[in-house]
Amino acid sequence: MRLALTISLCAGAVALLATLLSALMAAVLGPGFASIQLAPLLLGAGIAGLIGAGIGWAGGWYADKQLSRLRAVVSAVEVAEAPTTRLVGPLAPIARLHLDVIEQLEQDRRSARSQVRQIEIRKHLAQTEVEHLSGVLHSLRDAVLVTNEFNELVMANEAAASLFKFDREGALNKPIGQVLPEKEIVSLIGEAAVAGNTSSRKHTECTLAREPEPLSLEVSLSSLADATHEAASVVTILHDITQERQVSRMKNEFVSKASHELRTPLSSIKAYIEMLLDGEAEDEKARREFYEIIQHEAERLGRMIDNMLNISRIEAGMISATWENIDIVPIAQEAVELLKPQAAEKNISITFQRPHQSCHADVDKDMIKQVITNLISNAIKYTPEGGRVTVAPDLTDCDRSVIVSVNDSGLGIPPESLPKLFSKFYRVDKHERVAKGTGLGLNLVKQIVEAVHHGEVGVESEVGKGSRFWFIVPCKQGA
Amino acid sequence: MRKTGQGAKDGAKTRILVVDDETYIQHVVHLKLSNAGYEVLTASDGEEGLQTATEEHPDLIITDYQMPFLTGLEMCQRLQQNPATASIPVIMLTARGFALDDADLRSVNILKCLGKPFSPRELVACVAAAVGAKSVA
Repeated sequence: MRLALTISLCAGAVALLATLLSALMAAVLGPGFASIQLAPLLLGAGIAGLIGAGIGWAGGWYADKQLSRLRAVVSAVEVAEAPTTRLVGPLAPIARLHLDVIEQLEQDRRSARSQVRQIEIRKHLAQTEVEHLSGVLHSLRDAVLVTNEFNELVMANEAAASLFKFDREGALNKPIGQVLPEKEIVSLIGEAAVAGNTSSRKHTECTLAREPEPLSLEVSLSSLADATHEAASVVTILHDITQERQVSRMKNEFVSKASHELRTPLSSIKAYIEMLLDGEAEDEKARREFYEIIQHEAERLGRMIDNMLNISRIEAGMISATWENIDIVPIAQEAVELLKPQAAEKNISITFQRPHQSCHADVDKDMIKQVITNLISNAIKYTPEGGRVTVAPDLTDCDRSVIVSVNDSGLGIPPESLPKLFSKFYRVDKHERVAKGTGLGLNLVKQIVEAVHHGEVGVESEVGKGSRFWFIVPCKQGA
Repeated sequence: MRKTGQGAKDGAKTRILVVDDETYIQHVVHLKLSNAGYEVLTASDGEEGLQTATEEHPDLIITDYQMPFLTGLEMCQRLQQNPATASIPVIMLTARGFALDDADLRSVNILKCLGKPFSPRELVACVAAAVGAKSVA
C-alpha cells in the first residue's frame, strides 16, 4: 500500500478541482490505485482549498511514518466534516471507513510484527536444536553415516570419519562408495536405500580389517522412507563390539578352564573317599594317608575357589581394601620367613635384602603380603634344587613409590610367554611338568597391585638364567 | 579287602598302564587296580606314556586327556601309528566339560571315556569289561 497526498487551493468550481485531483492521484498511484479521499480546507466561511488522500496498492506494507501521515489526513477530513462546516456532510462515512482501514492496517502490522518475532524465536530455537543434535551426534562413540536417496553422504559424525579414516567436510555429498573403502558396508547401505520404500530397520554384523586386530561391528541401517520416493535416505549406525566379543570369548575360556581346574582336586577327593568306603585301604596307615590326601586336595580346591573369587571381586570392583600407611619391609620379611621351609625342602637359599630406610606406603596389608608370598612361592617352585631366591624391597620413583623385587636363579621364561604371563589360567607349557599350578597366582598379583593399589607389575627373564618379578605401589594413594 | 582280578586267572597278570600327570589320581587308580589283581605300570605325561607303552606293550592303557607335552588323544594317535602298539585298547579319563567325538575315539582304539570326577569302582568295572572283551576277541 502506498499513500499519496496532495493539497490544492480552490480556484474555481469545487467539482472541477476534485476531478482534476482524482486524475492526478490516479496517475501518481498507478494501476494499483484503490481509493481517493478529498477534504475541504476551510478558511473563515469559505473553502480555501482541498486535501486529497489516496490509498493504493503498490506492493509492501505501510511504514510507520506513512500511517501516521494518513491518520493526520483522515483527522483533517473529520475536522472538515464537523457540524459547523457546510459542505462536508457526504464525506463523513468515507472518512470513517478510512479510519477503520487504517486501524485494520495498524493491527495487521502489529500482528505481522509479532509473527515475525515468533518466527525469529522459532528460527533461533531451531538453530539451537540443530546445534544440540549435531553436538549429540558428534559426541556419540558409535559411527553415524547418513546417505541420501542417491547414496551420497549427507552427514557423518567424527566417530565415522575416524573409523573409516576420511575427511568429514571433504566427504560430504560424495557417493558413499568413494568415501568408504569397505565394499560390504557400501552394499548394505545401497540395499537399504532400495528397500526403503517403507521405513525399515536392519541389524547385521560385519568385520573390518584393522591393525592390530580386526574390528567386529554391529551395523544398524534405518531407511527414512519418503512415500513419493522409491529409494530413501539411510541412517547407518556402526557399534564396535570387538571388546564384547573378546570378553565373551574370555568368559567361555574361563568357565572351561575353571571347571577343568576344579574337577582335578575334586576327582581325587571323590576317588579316595570311595576307596575308603570300599575298604581299599589295607591298614590304618593307608587310611591316614587317604585322609591326608583328601584334606590336601580339599584345601587346594578351597584355595582355587578363593583365588577365583578374589580375582572376580577385584575385577567387578567389589573388593574393599583396608588402607594403612605401613612399612612394607617387615611385611616382605614375614613372607620370606613363611616360605623358608618350602625353600629348604629344595635346598634353595632365600635372601632378604633389607633396604637402608623404611618403605612406607598406603596398602592393604593382607593383600600386599599375598602378592609378595605368591611371587616368592613361584620363584621357589620354578627354581631347581640348590638355587637362589632374593627378595628386595626399596623406595623408587624419587621416594614416591615402593618397589619389591623377587629374583630367582630358576628356569627363566621364554620371551613368547612373557606377554601372557599375568593372564588368568596361563601356564608356561614347559613349566607344567616342573610344578603344579592353577595359573591364577600371577593374575591375582596383577589384580591386587594394579586394580586395587594403582601400581604396576613386571617381569624380566632369561631362559636358563632366572627371572626378576617386581611390583611398584605408590606411597600415597590418590596422590 | 584284597580282591583278585581277572588279570590273575590265566596265570600271567593283565598289565595295565596308567598315564596321568596328577600324582594322587595316578596313585588311586594304581591302588584300585592292584587291589583288583592287575599289574600296574605308571607314567606322568603323554611322552612318558608313549615310551612306556612302546617298551612294555601293556594289555590296556588308562590315560588322562589333559597332560603336558602330549595330550592323551595325541598319545593314542601316536600309538596307532606303530603296528606294535596299535591294538592296545584305551580307557580315557577326562576333566574336560565336552565330550570327545565318538568316531575320533574309535579310530584310536579308545573304548570308553570316563569323566572326572570318576568312580574307581566304575573304572575297574570298565577295565574288567575291556579286558574281557579283548580276551573274547
